[in-house]
Amino acid sequence: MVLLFNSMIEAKNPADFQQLTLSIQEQLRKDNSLSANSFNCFHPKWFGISDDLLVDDTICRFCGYKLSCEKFQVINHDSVEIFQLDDSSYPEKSIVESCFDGFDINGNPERTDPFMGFSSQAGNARKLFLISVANFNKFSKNNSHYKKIEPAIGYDSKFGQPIWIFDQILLNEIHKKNVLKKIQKSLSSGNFKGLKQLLFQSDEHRLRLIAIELGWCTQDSSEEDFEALKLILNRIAHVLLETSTSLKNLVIQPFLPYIDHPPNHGCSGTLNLVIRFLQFHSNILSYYSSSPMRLNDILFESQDRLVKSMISDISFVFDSLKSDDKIFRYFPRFPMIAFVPNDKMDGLELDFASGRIIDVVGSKTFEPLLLIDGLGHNLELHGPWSKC
Amino acid sequence: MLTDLSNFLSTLVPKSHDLVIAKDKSHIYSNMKYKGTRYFISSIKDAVSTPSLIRGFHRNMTESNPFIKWRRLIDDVIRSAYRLFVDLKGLDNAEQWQIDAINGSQKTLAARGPIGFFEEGSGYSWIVKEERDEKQYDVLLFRHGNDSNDVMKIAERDNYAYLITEANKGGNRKQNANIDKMPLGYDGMEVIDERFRELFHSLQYLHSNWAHDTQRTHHHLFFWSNDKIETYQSTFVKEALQRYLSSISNEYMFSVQGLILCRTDSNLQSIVMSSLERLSLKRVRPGSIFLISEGSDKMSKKSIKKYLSSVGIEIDYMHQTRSEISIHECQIETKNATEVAIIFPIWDGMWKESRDIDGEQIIFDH
Repeated sequence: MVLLFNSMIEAKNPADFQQLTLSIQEQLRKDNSLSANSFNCFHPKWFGISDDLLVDDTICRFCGYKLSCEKFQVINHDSVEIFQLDDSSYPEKSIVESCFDGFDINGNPERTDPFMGFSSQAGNARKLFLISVANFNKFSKNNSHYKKIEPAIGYDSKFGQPIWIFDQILLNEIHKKNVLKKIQKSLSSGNFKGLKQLLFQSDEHRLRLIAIELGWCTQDSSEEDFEALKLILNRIAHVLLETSTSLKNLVIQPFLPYIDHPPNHGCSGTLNLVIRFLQFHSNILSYYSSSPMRLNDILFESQDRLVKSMISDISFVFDSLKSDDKIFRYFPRFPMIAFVPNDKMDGLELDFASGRIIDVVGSKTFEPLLLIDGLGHNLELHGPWSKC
Repeated sequence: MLTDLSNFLSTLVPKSHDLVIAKDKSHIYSNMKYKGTRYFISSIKDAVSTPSLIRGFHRNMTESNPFIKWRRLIDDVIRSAYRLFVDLKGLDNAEQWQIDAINGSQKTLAARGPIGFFEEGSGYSWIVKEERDEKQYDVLLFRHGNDSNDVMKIAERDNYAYLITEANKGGNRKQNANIDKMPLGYDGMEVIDERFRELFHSLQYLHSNWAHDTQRTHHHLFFWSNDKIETYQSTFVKEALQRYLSSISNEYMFSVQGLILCRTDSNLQSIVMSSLERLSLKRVRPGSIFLISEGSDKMSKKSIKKYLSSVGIEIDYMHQTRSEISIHECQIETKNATEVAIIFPIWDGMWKESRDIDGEQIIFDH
């Protein structure tokens, strides 16, 4: 084989070169049967053959004419494979290829991975996934109260909750070193006498708006109910801040609403901490309400009524936000390119709880489709969309 | 229409700034030079590609020479601080700090640019005012931990004493007129401890490079109007553009904004946004500015809202918290139709304001 290859390189005339190239092909066919991905040679005439000539990637790599062949340019570069997660129709090839048209630093056209900057896998050979918007959305429901979720970074599929960077830091902190148990213990002990007011005066109005938005209170709720809510949240704020210095730091750090956490009507850091904590761990209020110390508590009935309206089944149970492969519960928000027929643009959303559309390309497909970078996850095998 | 807008904008920005009318997405990509202040003006429909566009732009920019320079200057600061911390905190702690600082500063540089290094709280070094013994000092702080409170004093300047000294330099007493002007930068700062000198010098060099680097910004403005620019009052268009410029004045590396001009003329009712343009509006972030110039049609806010909705602009979607509504005050004539300008930030997928995210942040480590 080496001898043949050297002879080909040193061939003295085109006829010898052609013959030696064919000999290498035959040798390769003998040594290794053709791979499953065999295809017809793009230029059989270069070998003096008028019929189809079956070749594969390995044969192409040893071909004497490879530098002139456009197929080899593809083989020689990292390529992406597009795997369909459902039986939706495939977009036009030229449209898909146009997504990979980019420009280099000098403005010259070049092939660019469209997920560059969005995925650590970009630029490497890998699988991308294609699915219809309708099927993707089946497992991407946003059950939170927040609809502008562009900056959210993750998604808890069990409860349909988008997760912001603030939430990730908060939840990681709560789920380490028994912090949650300490919080439960402090709430159960119910020692809330003489606590100073941690919420600001300006939070009062905002708290009303938030409480109504989250369904804890209504427009018609009494003043006593709002007072009771303020009391509960202030007590929980004390418990959170006394339990962990990291949580204390979270309150004073310059997190931005909308970017780092969902907008909470511009409330203080302390109120935001308590609100986000309760949205993920409202079940902890049962420790608060069952505390024997609260039997003679002020606003007892209002507090009890409120606690019932605040408790939901949402609860984070893992030690961190790392997903268990078998459960595949926590997702990053996958970057996606949408292929959308012109008459279906109107109904399209650009942000899903478990994915974000980074670009939209007009196509003639029957329905809107999404090309997904799995961020290292093989969505064909793992995740809810594998069953589509 | 984009050309007319560009002509207006050119009267409001310095001549050294470039204005590029980008007819389509590929035109923006192919015009991405990485020097100077440049305004890209595009149709609103291209805003649908903003995350992809800005990331592509940003990726190329961070690989370009100016960024390599900033990385080198910041690395110099980190190395100086590391040597100091080996002395002050021990080798293990200094190494841990160095690892955190390299990661953190790269995020800061990628997301905010060099200015991020000097931002109070989230950056690494900043100046605070301090009053002692009835004197006012500027104190240069350096963050030595993960928390914004983990700061140490590196150098300080007695502002009044410094100004007097400067004013009297060379016996030129006339300069006393400048005595009320506060000193800028690190001029006149004295290190608090001699061991801090190397760190101070590297900080001073980085800051001085940053302060004198005037050409550094790219702005993308996505535009839509239901009528020709010339039909609007020129003062109205100018005010809208001035408000746009003022909203991006503090942006370092790039900004992405949209501008919509709309005349509530019944003859224009057939001119509506295309489905792609309406889709692009879903990238709107909170913080829109509404500017209204009343016409003789005396439209109420409710009627304006209805008109905009008929054009394809869902005002409820744009008019969220932190929005601002203003009336155009320099009206020189009363037009038949009410004129509305909406200036709005667009989500670019970069999290540049966040202290914790370097652009695309994902939950899982790969």
